[in-house]
Amino acid sequence: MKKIANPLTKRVPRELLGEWHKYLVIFILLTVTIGFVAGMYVANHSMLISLDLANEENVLEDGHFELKEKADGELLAAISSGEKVDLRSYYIDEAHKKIDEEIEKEAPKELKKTVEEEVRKKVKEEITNKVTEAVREATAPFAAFMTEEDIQKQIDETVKKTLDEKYEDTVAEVLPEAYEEALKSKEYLDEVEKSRKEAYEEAEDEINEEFDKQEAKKSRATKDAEANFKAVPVAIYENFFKDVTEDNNLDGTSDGKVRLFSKDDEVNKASFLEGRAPEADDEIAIDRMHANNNDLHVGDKIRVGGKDFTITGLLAYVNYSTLYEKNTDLMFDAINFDVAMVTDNAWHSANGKIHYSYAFFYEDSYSNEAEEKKLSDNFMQSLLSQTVKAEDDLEDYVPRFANNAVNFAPEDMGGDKTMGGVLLYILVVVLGFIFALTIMSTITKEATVIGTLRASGYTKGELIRHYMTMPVLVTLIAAIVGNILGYTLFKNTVVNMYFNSYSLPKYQTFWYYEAFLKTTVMPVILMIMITFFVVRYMLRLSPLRFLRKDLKVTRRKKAMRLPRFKFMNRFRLRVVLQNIPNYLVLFVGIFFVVFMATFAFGLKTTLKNYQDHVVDDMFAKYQYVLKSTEDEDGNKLTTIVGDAEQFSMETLYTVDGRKTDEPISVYGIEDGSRYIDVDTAALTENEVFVSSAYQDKFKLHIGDEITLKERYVDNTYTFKIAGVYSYLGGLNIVMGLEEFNTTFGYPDGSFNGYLSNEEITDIEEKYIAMSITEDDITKVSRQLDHSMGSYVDYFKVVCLIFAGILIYLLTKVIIEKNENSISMVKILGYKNGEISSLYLMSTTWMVIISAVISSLFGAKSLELVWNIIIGQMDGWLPSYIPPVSYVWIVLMIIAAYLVVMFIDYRRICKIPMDQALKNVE
Amino acid sequence: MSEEERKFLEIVDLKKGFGSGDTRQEVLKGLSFSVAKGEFCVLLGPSGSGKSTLLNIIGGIDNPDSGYISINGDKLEEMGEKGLTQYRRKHLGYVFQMYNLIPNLNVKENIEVGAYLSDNPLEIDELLETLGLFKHRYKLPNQLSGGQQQRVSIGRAIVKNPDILLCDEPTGALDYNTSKEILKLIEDVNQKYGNTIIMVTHNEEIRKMADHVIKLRDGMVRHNDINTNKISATELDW
Repeated sequence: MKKIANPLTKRVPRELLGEWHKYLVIFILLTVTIGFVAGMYVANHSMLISLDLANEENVLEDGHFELKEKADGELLAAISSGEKVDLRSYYIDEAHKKIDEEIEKEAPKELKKTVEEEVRKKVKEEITNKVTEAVREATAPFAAFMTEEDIQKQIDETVKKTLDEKYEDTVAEVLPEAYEEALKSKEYLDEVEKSRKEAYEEAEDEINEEFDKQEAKKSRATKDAEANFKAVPVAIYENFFKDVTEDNNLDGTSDGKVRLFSKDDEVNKASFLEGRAPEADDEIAIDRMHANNNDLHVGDKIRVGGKDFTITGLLAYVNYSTLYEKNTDLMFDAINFDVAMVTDNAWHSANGKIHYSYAFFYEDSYSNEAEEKKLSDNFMQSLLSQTVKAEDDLEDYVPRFANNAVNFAPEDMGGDKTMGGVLLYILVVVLGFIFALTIMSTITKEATVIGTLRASGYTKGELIRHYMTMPVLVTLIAAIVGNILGYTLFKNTVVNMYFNSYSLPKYQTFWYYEAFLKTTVMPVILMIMITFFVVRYMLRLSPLRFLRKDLKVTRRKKAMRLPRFKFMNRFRLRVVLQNIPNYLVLFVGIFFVVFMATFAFGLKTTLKNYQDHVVDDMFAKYQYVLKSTEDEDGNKLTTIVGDAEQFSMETLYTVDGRKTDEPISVYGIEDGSRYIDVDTAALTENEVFVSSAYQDKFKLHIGDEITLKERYVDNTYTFKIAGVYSYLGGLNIVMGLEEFNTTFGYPDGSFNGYLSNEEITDIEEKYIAMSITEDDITKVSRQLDHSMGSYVDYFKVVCLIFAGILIYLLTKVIIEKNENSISMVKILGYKNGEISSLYLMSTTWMVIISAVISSLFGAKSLELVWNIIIGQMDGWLPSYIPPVSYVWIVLMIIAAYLVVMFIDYRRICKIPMDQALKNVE
Repeated sequence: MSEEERKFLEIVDLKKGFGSGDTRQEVLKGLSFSVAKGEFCVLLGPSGSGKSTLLNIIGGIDNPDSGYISINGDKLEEMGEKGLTQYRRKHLGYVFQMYNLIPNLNVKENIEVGAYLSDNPLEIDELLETLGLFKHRYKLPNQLSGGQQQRVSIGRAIVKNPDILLCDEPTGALDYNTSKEILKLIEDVNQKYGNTIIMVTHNEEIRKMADHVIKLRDGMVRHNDINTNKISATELDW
């Protein structure tokens, strides 16, 4: 007879059919989670590839810089070369040139004056001498008749007359020759050289002193970078824009800001998701995300910069996949900020300041961010020096790797992926343990069969494989079906989520091996591992022990003594004690659900808390940062608003701690400020107050030293923390205005902004660099609320279902394990209600206890995870979950449990009385 | 019969105790005997005499404290865990008082569970006929009577055509008639397939159908008799 197939495998489908509720629930749970996570991986990967393709197609910049004045051809050529100007030599050369010019101009003038004086003196002397001599000679024969006085009088008269007649002519006759001679004289030449040398030295000293001072402030990294400078040639393209107002409903009030680009731009182009590019001068294509958020459609009219336009298309600019208005903004704003395309004519005729933004492309290629950063660092040195040389100002410099508008979306999508993966693995582990408990219960139930099989010669390996088959099979099928759903159904859900947050180009799906690996292979491996260890552990005993149903590792000689509770309560306590492993897994499962629910409940409260605090904490209702404190005529910019208080602000960047390169606003305020409640007068040198947000994020303490650096030049500053003030809206530090000016080298009395509770209207907008209002400061929470808020309620329902399923699976195991006892107490005459109260009440206690404990720990775990996520972003947004949320979470779990309890009650009712009799072995 | 066949199963000075210190109890106190190939050997004795312990040691699912067992010249103690599993797989069939059938496999499949272990199993349908179970072959265990279930369990044990069939009180849970039927079946199997059968029982009557009767008491062999006048199971009466 030929070798037959293992008959045990025939049990698998029968078991599947026999327990289809349980396996279906697990299957659905796994399939949906795997599907969603696979969808997330696929959507994420495909979206990133789509983004990359769009980046290439739409010629995404390697970076951009903005100049105050439009660059001329010479400056552009100089910047393109990537060559750095040695500013020290440049300034010295310039100074030399200036000195030379001055000397060329002034020295001959001076000489001429001196020579003329000399000539005049000499001519006068000569005329006087000659006249005197002639008069004396003429009067000599009459000396006896004339007094000396008369002679002198005659001399004086003749000298005067002669001088009047001949002096100027003689001077004019002699002077040119004398001047020419003097010009060639060695004395003069020596003198000129000497002056030149002195002037050179003085200028050089001054320049060197200034540069040495700057040099001393430079960090080692900057010095190294400068020493290793290599010219980075780039190609430069104009990418000018204008920021103008956008009125979406034509009601005459501005609904936000739109950044206008010309259709003719050669780089940083847009993908069209709907409609077409503008063709007429009254047509506009706006950002698709912004349009969605504001319910704008192709064909709608909007007013942009005071002029009406018809929307012809919805687009996604390649360099604005996330709508960051400024790269330093805490959060993007796809609600009030828009980017749009108009015809070149419309662009030119639009009112608004032109931002001279230039996109650049490295001629050298790079393959990773480190190389890109190196190129960027070198290029920035060149750019800075060339701009200074051309006497222009560098207003902004954003290399691609640091551009939030380009990087935020892909980075954020990556974050989702990690979170999804972690949730999937947690779920697989939880389900793995549920399977493990099921297997343990089955093995206990089938102990004698296992003993018989082992005694008959079945190997441990064969039995381990047999008992592992079901969970692994269910996981494998769920993983495969989940993957298919991931590629079809769930992918779209995730893509829609992305499209709901970001301005993305058209999506295409690509095969992704990692999705398969992480969502199909990994869960199966995890399940194999968990079940393998559990089954192996269970089957480690000898066949004899199985035959004797003696599976306990530690055999308690006596049952644990219980307090003198009522019989029913003692019974329930026994049920708990017998099912400790099950209740432990129940706890882990509930903890998992509570953790997710805490996130769902906590997000809105966190945002609300932030929004409330941040508005309360605001220094003033209005905060204006000025571009200069003087107008074009050199008059100091003042305001009649009596409430206004001068302050200064600079932005420095962190160099260490939790996050480097995080922008920190440094405020210099008047002592006794009405707006910021700190005593700056009491601060000593280098002491500052830090905002609670800064303290919280970087875990700072009073007395700590913080080191910050300037953005591009890398000068570092070290401050000592003297105190903390309540301010959640941003990471900043405060010092006295005087100390501020000393620290940053501004003249006494300087300031660069006003704090005011009243709006300042008497300073022209062109002098205002930035104004911060409540609207700006709540941008982050509004955006988060918008992009995630709608999913939160959905997520709560998912948590509720998860809670129900987990509790269902675990209570099922507990009831199955106790089927014989339940059947036996039925025989004894207990009613279904009494039995349910015995077996279900224990579970009820455990569910409530688990939910309460999990809630307490859930808050802490969420805080940890939240801090990690938020810590990676600029700014700070502490988690906040009010106690009432926990009540809701516990109630939610109890609600889920009540449904399960009903199912369990029915299950208990169905257990037949002969069950106990049949299984008395 | 050759010496080798006569000492097919050899038990030498076998000792086994449980517990330690004051509570230590010696269950087997130095047993020695041998069983010939193809013999129907009955181990008799009152409860606690060590019959089942001895059977378990012979079956390789329990270990002696000292002494040894050899089967066909191979000592069990030298086999190791894997070797013992192989030994059970290739040479042993087990029948217990409780049938320990797999509830969601039908009669035929339960027998296949045994057949799977053998390289040379018996023809299952033929065996089902022998067992009187052919018409019940698609029934699940819970649709069978106790006697039928025990037949399945015997079928599962002998389908792999083991050298030795170990039966631990196979009729312990059965009524008189069914017990006799089962004993007849075991007798038939012994005759038809020539397996060595070692059966533990406390039913004195069963000795009459055995080739070899070993009576234990207090862990010692009290009688070791060869039965030259054995009768058929159908003639037993108790």
